[in-house]
Amino acid sequence: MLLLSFYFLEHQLANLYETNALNIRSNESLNIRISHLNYQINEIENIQKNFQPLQPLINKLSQVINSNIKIDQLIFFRQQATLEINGLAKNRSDLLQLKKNLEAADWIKSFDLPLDYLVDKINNKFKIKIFVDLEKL
Amino acid sequence: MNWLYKFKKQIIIILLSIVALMLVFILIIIPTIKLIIAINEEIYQQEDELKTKLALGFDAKKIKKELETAEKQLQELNKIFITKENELEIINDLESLAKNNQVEISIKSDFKQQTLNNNINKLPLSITVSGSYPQLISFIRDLDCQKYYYNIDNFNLIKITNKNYEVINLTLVGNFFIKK
Repeated sequence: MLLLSFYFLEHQLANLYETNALNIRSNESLNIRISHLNYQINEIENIQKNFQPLQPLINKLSQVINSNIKIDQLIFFRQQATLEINGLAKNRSDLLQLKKNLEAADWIKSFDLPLDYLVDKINNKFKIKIFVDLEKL
Repeated sequence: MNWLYKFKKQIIIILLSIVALMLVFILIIIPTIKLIIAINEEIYQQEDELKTKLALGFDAKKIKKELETAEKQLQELNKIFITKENELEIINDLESLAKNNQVEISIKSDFKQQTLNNNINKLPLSITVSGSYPQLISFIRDLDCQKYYYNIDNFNLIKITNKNYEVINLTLVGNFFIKK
């Protein structure tokens, strides 16, 4: 009787092992699909992170530049997040106003406007290097 | 004592039977019971594990469904990539973008792809557009919204003034992405 019970229980246990193994295998294929999907999503996310639309930058810049400032050249480097502006201000106070506007802009981390450009009273040629906070654009 | 001699045979048989029974009990019954208890415990353990996995299995069904939805959505996301051997399509797209915004366009690329990772290549491309300020702004807006991702490394916007005309040149240097 005992031996019969023993064999019966052993058979039950073998069945359970098999069911468990099947379950693990089916979950494994699901895991593979999920990790493949995650990999692809990460690839796209990395590309998206480095995507910088230009319009927000131009719009934000036009908000800080008044009509008496003429821009001759704009150079932008995405990786360094820098924007160089070469231009001409009608007079010193216009350039000072631009300086104030740049100081007040939340999308600008810092900027470099050498004082030499503020010496002349009128027709101030200038070159500004702006360090942009790309996340705030 | 006579009594003991009289039943000597029976007593020996009884004693031998008891020893035999004890041997059966010690050598067979006790180990078997121990094995049965061990198997029983193992069965309970496996049952518990299976129950947990079955519960996960119900979740797995839900996950599988969600996974299928995510996979379909990923196909949409994959549209940001230019498909292989279809690189020239982007040139046509950019030219029609320029035409719609009435700007002159010049595209430079040696079409030498760079490996980004196992599945994706980068296609470096330089775009120069010339036009008035509103035309360039309109072109930039359309370029930002086009279906393929164009990740800009740098741009240079310069005003060119001549006696007769004033034009703005915008040079963009960046990459498109190609699925291998």
